[in-house]
Amino acid sequence: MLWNRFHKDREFLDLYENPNFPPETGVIDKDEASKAVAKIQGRSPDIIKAKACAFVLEHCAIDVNPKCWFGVNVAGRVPSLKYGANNTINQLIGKFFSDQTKGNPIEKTLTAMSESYAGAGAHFPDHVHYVPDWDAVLHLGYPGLLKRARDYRNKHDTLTNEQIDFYDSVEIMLTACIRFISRLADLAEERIQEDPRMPLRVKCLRSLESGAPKDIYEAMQLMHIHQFLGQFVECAQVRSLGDIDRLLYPYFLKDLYRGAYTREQVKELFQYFFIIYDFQKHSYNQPVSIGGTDIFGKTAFNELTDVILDAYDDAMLCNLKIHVFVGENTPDAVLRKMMAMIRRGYGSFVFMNTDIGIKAMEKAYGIPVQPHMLGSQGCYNFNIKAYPQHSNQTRINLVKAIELAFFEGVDPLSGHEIGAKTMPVENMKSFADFKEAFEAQIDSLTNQHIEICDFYDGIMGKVNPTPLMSSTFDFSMEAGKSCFEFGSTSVLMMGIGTTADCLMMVKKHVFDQKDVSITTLRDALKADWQGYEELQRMLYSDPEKYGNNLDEPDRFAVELSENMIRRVTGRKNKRGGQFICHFETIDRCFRSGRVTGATPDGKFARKPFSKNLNAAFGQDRNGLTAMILSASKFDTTLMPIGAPVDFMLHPSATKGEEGLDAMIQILRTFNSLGGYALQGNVLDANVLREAQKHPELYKNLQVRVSGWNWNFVDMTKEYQDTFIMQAEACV
Amino acid sequence: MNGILMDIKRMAVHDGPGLRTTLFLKGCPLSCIWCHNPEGQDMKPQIAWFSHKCVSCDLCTRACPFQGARDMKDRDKCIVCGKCVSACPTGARKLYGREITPEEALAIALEDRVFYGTVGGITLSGGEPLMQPDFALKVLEDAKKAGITTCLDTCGYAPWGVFEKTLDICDTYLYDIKHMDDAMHTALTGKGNAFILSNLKKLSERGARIQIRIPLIPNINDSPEHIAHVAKFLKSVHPECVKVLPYHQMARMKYLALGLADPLPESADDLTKRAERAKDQLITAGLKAYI
Repeated sequence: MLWNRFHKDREFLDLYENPNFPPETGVIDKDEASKAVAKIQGRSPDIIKAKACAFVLEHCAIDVNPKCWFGVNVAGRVPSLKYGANNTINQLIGKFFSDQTKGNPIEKTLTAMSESYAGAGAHFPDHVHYVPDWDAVLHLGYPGLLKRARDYRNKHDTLTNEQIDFYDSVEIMLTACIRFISRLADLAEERIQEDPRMPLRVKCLRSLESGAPKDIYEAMQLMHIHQFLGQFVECAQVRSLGDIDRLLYPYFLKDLYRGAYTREQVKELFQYFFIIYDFQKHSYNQPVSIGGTDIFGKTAFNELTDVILDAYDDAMLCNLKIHVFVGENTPDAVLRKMMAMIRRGYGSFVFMNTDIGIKAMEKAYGIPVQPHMLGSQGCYNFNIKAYPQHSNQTRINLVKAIELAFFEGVDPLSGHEIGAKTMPVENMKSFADFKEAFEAQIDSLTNQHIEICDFYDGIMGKVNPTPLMSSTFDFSMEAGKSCFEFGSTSVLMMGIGTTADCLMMVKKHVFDQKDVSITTLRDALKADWQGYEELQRMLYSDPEKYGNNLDEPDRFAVELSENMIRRVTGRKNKRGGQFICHFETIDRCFRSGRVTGATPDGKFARKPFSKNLNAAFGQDRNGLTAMILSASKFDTTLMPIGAPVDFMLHPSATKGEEGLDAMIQILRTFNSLGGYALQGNVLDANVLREAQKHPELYKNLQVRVSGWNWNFVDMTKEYQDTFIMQAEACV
Repeated sequence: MNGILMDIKRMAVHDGPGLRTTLFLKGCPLSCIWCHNPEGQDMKPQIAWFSHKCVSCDLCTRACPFQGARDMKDRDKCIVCGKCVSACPTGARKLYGREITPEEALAIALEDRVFYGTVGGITLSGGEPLMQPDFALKVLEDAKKAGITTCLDTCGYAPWGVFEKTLDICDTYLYDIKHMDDAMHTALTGKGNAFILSNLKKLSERGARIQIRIPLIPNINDSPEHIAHVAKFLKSVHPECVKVLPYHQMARMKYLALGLADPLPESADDLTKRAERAKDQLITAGLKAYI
């Protein structure tokens, strides 16, 4: 039996946690593979990396799962990100990175701005976030990409050594990828008796070995192989599977017309396809996008979108996040389907406003952007498809600048001097004095982060060469340079809501109302409110906080965003692109929160600060509509890379058909007000408490952490408690 | 013409068509034994103390002119100044009832105007909003002028003259039906139902858009015989729909917080089943019913 097997096969589909490599297919031992990779020599990192990948693809043991339509595996790949990645290819990347940093004067700044040192932010060389040009992958297949690479190479009259190494690395890599597909096909042929689907798998792999995919199954198989090789062999995160309902729609139609597959069969294919990403257990979820507007200006939601949503719904997956491109032309029916899934407690959707995406991209890149050109990347970030993308090198903890303003540039928790030497609080006579110190600290943190970005941007091509990813892009192949050597550099701003609240509270209670002296407040912060409990309660319970549609605190937040955009956006980066400021926290509101002290908004030390464009946890007392109205005061067209808002609704607010109507209406209004992206949960605090007590009963209960969902029961108690607090607040 | 406002609910989904802002006005002529808004019965402002949220910090006591705020044992001395509520850092204290002008009420409703679309708007609820007729009429009138839709969530116990004035300024009536037997109605709510049913008939005759709500109380008004009686009557008033509201006892905490005796009737294990049965019976009778 070929079909109607997904739920029966489900338990056999995890190739990653329980690999089963036939020993005769190649090297299995991780250490043996790592040692072999370590011995590889070459003129440059490009060549060494490509040869290392080729070694893994050509000599390590492989697996083709007969229970799955798509599952493939290779020993020697990096482990899933959840469990760290420290062998084979990653050992090379680590070495390349340490070659660049060891003894470099930047080391001092890298340490000072690291999260673990003083919590001023977080940084890493982002040579991993990219989305392949999926159109090129599907239209050309690997043989076509290889031919195109050779054609581009031959167009150059002369080549620099760097270009020669780059083109050579692409040649090595793509040849190895084709060889890998041949090996998979050979193994599938050996196993042809093991399952009725194996003859089709052999046919599919043989077809991909020699050319571009010809039907929807082959296209999906190639997409999966490309994601797998990119993510786990080349070690670049494939940060979207692309606008999948558009990419696969022509294959879908053709296959339906010629009777190759039925709608139900395609749905089942998608279930097998999606569940692989669940098993990959990528901590930040595997993104994919749907919807938007087509080249004729009509909605791009189509029959395949429906199939995809049905498959996703039926499979109840957590680790796949769907970017939903929403415009005015998006049908209510499709939104309704997704809202119903969110209401049922699963469905990792982020609703991205394409009107804002277009305007923001046009402003950022100075080119006319048609709706169909919009793509997405990462958690909830617009990009332009097949265009150089952004790399997120650093994240600034804005709340830390408040702390540093109180303590003259010294981080109170760690004692490290990481900021500017500013005026002692004893000398501050007005709010303007405090603001000046805060601005000086922000300047200091920004400059240090920019310095780090410049360093990382300068080494992007040398630390993790990515010939496979690069081979999909015309711009990269034309120039003979890695795609990571192009693009903008994003600097992420964390904790804007909490920072605005802090400024508001200092102005109001210290300088306007004189409820507390600034020295007392400093002492209270230093003591984490011990002995100052009454003061903490007063500040915490003060309702004049960002996120409640109140003029003054909202103005602090908006002004802060404008100042940060002025400081950062538009500066030239070291890759021929520019810096762009963006406003999201990922899950750093928790992680950086742990290294952030007590703050004047009444927050205790080591507690999370505000997430994304949201109010600080528990401070959005006027409900979701007020939160959205506050967030709408930002100019999100100046935030091209991201500025999401999270919602949490109580089940009672979304009950019945009118509940779904309300959710859609909220989204439509959010978009009409210029919101960038909206995502969220419908949760009952009592259910969350029960899940905390009895995790075994709530395995599928999902919550939206940042740009991704996690199973609630897999989260730490600290994270769980934060969600419970939010859910309690929305009763 | 100021009103006494009990509470505000933004993004109300179940208080009329679309997304709405519901203003709860204080004071109600009825005193239903299952009342889930006991803070709405008395027109006078009241302070509630939710002991489960109290951290015993005593900031309320220090703020209280009579120094007796915390456990509210001596409510007679309380002048409802609200100082303890402002001082409370945990939200354990809540002031139900503050004076509000019609202009303020409209401004609150208009804050969320962008979310209303063409169907959402303001709902006046309570308590019984028509216990404050001048204020309610003014707010409804101003809201209509401002171009947002209006709803009245009413128990129906108000002079017809007041209802008549709402006809041009209220888009939808959310109208309660509690019991068809006059004596039972009196026993359960403190007032008879003749006035209520007559107002409903008249509203219907004048072409008002009416959505009926039936709070379904186990063993009190949920028998098939009673539902049949309700259905028969409702057929004559042509409501747009009938919503069955399953019984709950979530108000128990509010009675305690207000220092009021808890009159809530017994619940039952099969509330959903009872609600489904009533809904099905209403649908069978030709009404558009839902839960």
